[in-house]
Amino acid sequence: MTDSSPSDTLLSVHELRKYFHLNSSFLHRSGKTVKALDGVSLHIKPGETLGLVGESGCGKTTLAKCILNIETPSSGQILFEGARINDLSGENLKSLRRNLQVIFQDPFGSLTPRMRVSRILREPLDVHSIGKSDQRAQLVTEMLERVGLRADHGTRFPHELSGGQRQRVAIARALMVKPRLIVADEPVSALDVSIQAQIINLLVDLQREYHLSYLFVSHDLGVVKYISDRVVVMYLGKIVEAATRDDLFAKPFHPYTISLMSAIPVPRAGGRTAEVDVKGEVPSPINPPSGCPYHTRCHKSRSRCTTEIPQLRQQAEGHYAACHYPDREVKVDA
Amino acid sequence: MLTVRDLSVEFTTDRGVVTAVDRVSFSVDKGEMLGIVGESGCGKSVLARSIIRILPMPPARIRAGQLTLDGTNLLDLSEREMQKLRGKAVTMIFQEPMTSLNPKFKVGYQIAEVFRKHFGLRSSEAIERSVEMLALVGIPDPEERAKSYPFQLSGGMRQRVIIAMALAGDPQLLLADEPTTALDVTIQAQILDLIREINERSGTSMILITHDLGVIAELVQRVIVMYAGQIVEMTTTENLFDRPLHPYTVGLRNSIPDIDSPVSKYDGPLNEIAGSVPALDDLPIGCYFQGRCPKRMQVCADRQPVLKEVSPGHHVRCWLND
Amino acid sequence: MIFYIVRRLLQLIPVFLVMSIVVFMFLHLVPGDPVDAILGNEATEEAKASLRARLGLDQPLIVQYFMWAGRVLTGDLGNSIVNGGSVLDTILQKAGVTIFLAIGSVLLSVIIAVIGGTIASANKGTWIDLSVLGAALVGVSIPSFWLAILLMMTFAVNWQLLPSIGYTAPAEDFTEFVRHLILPVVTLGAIMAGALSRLTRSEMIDQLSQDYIVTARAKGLSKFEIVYKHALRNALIPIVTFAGLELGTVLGSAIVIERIFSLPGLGQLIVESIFLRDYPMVQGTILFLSLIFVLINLLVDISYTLLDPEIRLGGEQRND
Repeated sequence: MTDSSPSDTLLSVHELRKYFHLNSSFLHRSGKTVKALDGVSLHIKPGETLGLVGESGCGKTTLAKCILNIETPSSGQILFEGARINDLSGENLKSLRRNLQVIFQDPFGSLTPRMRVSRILREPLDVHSIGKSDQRAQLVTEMLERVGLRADHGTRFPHELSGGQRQRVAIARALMVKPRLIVADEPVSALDVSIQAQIINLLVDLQREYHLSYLFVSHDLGVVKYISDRVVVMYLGKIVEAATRDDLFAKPFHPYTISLMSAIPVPRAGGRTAEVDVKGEVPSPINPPSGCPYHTRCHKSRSRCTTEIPQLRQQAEGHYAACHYPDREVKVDA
Repeated sequence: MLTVRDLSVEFTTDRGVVTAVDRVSFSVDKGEMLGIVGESGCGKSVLARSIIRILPMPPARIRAGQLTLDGTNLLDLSEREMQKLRGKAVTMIFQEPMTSLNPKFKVGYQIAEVFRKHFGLRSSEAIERSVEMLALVGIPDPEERAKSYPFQLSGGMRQRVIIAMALAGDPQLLLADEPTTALDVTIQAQILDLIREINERSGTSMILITHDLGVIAELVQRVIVMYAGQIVEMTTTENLFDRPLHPYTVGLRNSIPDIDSPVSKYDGPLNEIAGSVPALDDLPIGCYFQGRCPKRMQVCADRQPVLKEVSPGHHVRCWLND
Repeated sequence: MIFYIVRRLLQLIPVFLVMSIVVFMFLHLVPGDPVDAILGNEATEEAKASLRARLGLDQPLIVQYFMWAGRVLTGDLGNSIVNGGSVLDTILQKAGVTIFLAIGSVLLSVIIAVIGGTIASANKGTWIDLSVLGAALVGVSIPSFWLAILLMMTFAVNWQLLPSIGYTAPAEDFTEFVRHLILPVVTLGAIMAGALSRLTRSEMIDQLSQDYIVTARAKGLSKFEIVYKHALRNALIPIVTFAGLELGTVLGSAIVIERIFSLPGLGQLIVESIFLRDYPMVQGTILFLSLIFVLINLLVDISYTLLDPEIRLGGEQRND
């Protein structure tokens, strides 16, 4: 899915791998390896939202951490505006942070509890020397209003705010340095239903206003469908399907994507109509299955799936899936 | 089977007494699955915990006109008598499968405790029955799994263990507090199927507490919508989705980005409910939802609406339906 | 499990090495010459030199260390330069009292603390909790020598129930041995119980607020089963860790207590040997105490594997 030339790409990830070695210590080495990311490639264009979907253990959080330079990938490349950002430090990392910000699931954990909101928002300005010091208070007030808070919210501590308000502060903090890309890791999952829509609407508004790109990591397909331009589905450290939002939801190829969609409870009298055809649980990433990582749970699995790893192949224009038998029409008995 | 009339739960806090559950009345029939939906702080979990009486008292205080399970007035029972009912006649399962099991005991042992406590079985028999329960909830290789510690099981498996433990006492009423919220969607689907199957097979009545209207649609026949400690709407699941009456219910339903809906961010913003839930110690006079309601009228700020039956089985607390 | 213990034992080798160097160097860096101490100030330079040579004190420090370390490895801690007796024999002879004192007082403190701390946590905020906290505060604050004298005045002098000072060897009369050790054990135990019961209480309060406690209540378990089986089982690791540390520090407190109660233990031995500049005796005793301390820590670590299945079976854990 990396056909586009670098010129119109903000962030691109090439064959990224991240292996964790378990129980390694001075006298003891277990030799067990978790392949948290196993050859992941993707790109994000300016102003675009890339949805990243998958269940726990699929590697989506590790991928986000690698992009944010919190984890160092084992191999592969991460390019931001064409420049390698895998292993930055010092000034280079600092200048990357101006362009690349993050919003976490739990705004409470990511806001310093003993700082007032205005100081939390001012800090990035001080760190990156943005604006004259007398202008910074003004910039903070403007941003508070922009994310739907009042100026007097600046005098409060994070614990004095509601969950939705805290997430607005986290968004405001990310925006203070006017970044190009925001990694949003489950930004609405911890919020109440009535607040989720407010935050999603805010994120969409801000995207238009500041021409932001989002890497939107979520397990909630409904939210991803609403907010994304393109979507990547991950399973056990690999991308199993990638397409535009319209194509993916209209005609998914990978059996995992199909199952994921059918498993979501639908708020409508009678509930889901489709049967859930996904068996068992996600296998341990310590001992991933041979061949296709999904074959242990797949209703279409055949012998080839147990031996040969399917590559991500173009199934339709701009629509990629890693499946040996991606044809939806043919139902095969296992 | 379960009858609740005018149940209130108050908490004594540093800033005075707050009412977490405010004069709630409802009943659950034998074999029925009732849903309680609402956001954090609406009182749904406190309500369930007050039925099984596991709230810390103090600071909590329960008052009720009536709280009877199969003719037994639960509020008259001593703590010791209540212990005999808990885990047997009525039991409860919780949201966090990761932390709801004791990490230091094998899961088989933890289920066996129910058999030993309520049926006086010896430990070997109790363990045998535990293995049967594990098989019943679809855990493969139950004999081996009974010897596992919780940390050796996945979240989905742990939630199955917790369900097995709840079913061990063959309860008449099962209270399930967000039983699938912490699980991945494919596992959630499996657990929802399991809960439905148990209800159909054993006729256990259930109260399912959730914030997720999708889960409500999957499982329950009747729904209570709670807001700021009060029931604001109570009706059949069908009515809830097709003919919701309370503006809060309508707002909840419309604010969720639905996987089946073609709407994207380019089609306009999601319908949001403005503002946030009022704090329980700072509730307005009149209707508690007035500050966020798009259909607010003068009367809403003056007087609190009562829960009214507007059509058979459809109750709503809103001046619009007066 | 066995692999774990072997690994832990191997990890002790560098610890012992460093420990022995510290013990060896420490005594050679403090002022005061043992030759002066033995021969007195009037001795001739020749006599001093020949004694130095005999004791190996004329060799470079590094040589002295290896000579000493080599002997230690064979179990020979040398002889006292005061009375010529074997250091190891003297230590073993006196260790019994100190070990009895240490283990007895730690056991007592654990019993008091677990009962007190648990009852306090289960009745958090009530007068019971406040009484336990108050008693613990007293235990933490009062100095051990003061409590020792208070107990002595009350039980030995006023009521004459127990002997005040002195010691009877267990081989001679075991009942008298125990009677002589009751007051020292109670003194140390009561003081350690203060901190340990506060730890137990806060640890239990933490455990009692966990989700699995609510599950246990929903199962219909009684308060007793919930507190003493479910919660205490989870609170044990920090309690055992702390008790293990106390067992180490009590070896230090024993110096004071043994002096007050005139008990012929290792504490007394160290103090006397330091006064006499009996290098081999001081070195030997400190090395012995350090060895005990390290072994206690090893036992504590091994007890984790019994208390915590996650440590015992680690590695099989799922990564969710």
